[in-house]
Amino acid sequence: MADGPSGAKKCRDDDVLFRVKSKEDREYTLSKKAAQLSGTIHHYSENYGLDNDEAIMKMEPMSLLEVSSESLHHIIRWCEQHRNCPIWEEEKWWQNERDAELTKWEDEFMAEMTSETLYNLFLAANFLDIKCLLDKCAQSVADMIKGKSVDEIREIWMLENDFTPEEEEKIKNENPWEAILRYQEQLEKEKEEQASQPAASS
Amino acid sequence: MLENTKNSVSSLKSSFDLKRLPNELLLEIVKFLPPREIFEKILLLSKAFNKLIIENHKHLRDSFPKIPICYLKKLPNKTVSIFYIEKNEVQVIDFEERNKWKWLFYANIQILLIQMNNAKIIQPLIEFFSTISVETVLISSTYTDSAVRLYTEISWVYTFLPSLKNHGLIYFSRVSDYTSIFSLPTKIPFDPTSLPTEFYEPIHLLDPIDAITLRKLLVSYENDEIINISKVSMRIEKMVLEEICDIISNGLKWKFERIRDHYHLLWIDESWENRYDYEEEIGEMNLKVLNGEEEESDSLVRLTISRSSDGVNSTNFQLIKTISSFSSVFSVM
Repeated sequence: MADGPSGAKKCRDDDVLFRVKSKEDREYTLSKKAAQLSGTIHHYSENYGLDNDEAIMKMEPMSLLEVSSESLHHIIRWCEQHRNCPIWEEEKWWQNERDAELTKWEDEFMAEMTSETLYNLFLAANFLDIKCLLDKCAQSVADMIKGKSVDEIREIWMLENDFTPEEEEKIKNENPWEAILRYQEQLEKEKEEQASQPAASS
Repeated sequence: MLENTKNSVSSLKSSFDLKRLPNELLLEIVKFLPPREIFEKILLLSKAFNKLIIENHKHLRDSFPKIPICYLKKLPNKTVSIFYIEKNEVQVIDFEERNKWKWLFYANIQILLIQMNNAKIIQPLIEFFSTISVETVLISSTYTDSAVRLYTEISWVYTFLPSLKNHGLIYFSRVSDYTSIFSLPTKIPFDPTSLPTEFYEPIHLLDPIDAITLRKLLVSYENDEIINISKVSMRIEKMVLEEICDIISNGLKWKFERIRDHYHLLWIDESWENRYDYEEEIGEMNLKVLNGEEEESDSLVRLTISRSSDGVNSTNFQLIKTISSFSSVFSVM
């Protein structure tokens, strides 16, 4: 597999290494700092007492049964590159700032991905709870359809139009509040029905 | 180099099978699309997508960046337009394209500023209000000249803006006898006598359109050459919007917060204007710009006046003067 964009950071010799294993049972290591970017690894560390360097050095590899070797390779590259970055604010993602050099690296990183690699990476980032990578994957998929027509978007995202022409016309002319209010009314109705069922049975 | 990279992204990933992704990841993708795109395109993609967005509207709305201010007004010789900043540029939507307004439904607008200078604006506003969510509405009404009309306007604002019931309305008007409104059979939850005097601070908002005119005059004066009016206009609009944002965040926000729990309406006393001689102060400011004494010529639209000469505490409050005074300033110059 390629080493990736130029200037990529790698583990240093003096790094404390965290051991992980892909679903193909292939072992990888990443620096402790890089591993901390993953919420899943962070929780695992807490649960298994991996809270000091000595424990990490003695650890058994953490099995990532949902992550392929290829995805894990890319994820480790991403995490090493971002290991010194400030915490990614997921709720206010638009406020996160990256320097120009890192943004360039990220763009080159995403440019390497094929659709299939991106798909697997997206799922892996979600599983490993790596916010900044998750957002980058989502943004890359969103960027694919910017400025495109509805038909073009369906083609790019491989979706089928299952609306009838009448339904499509209705949505075009409808105020979105009406649809949402209808949905909320339906929810309320369901709640009421659920609440009344035990009372009726008792 | 970066452009090449972007091109290569699009060429490599010409398609992506979205059906395989779980809903939570679809929502992650959608949050990176402009709200307008979601309304105009994504809702129409498929039944599943339509359902996803309708059922997660609250989550989606929370995941969008807020539009700090949206300015609604009637342009001269045109219909009502909306000005807002997106991607650091001023965007304008004309009322004729009112279907396109609906996308604002998905946008979090923190402050909606309405320049009410014509009765014809009311009907489109009602339509507009019924579809969006804003935190605070500011109405600057040059058209409203009677307390009865004012009461009517405020009533429909409350009626048609669902989200406003939990937020704030600030009203700026030319009505001088504001006390008469409180003798009306009103449900407006406001008792002016219960407010500390600091809440009677007068506020005047710069009118962007007049600011454009002003700017055009100044640029012509400074450069003595033909300028690209539309570009200048957009720049001015942007600066005005940003300026209003600054004013709100620096000077007024704390007031909103303090009154919001108790009052939905803050009344501004127009008669306050007579207490200070603003024309003179602003005139000086403009002259400074024209003489090149200001560091940045663009600072013209930073027509903020700190209250220093009147002996009243000036630290927390700034003003933007209504542009109507500028006409007279120009005639002085």
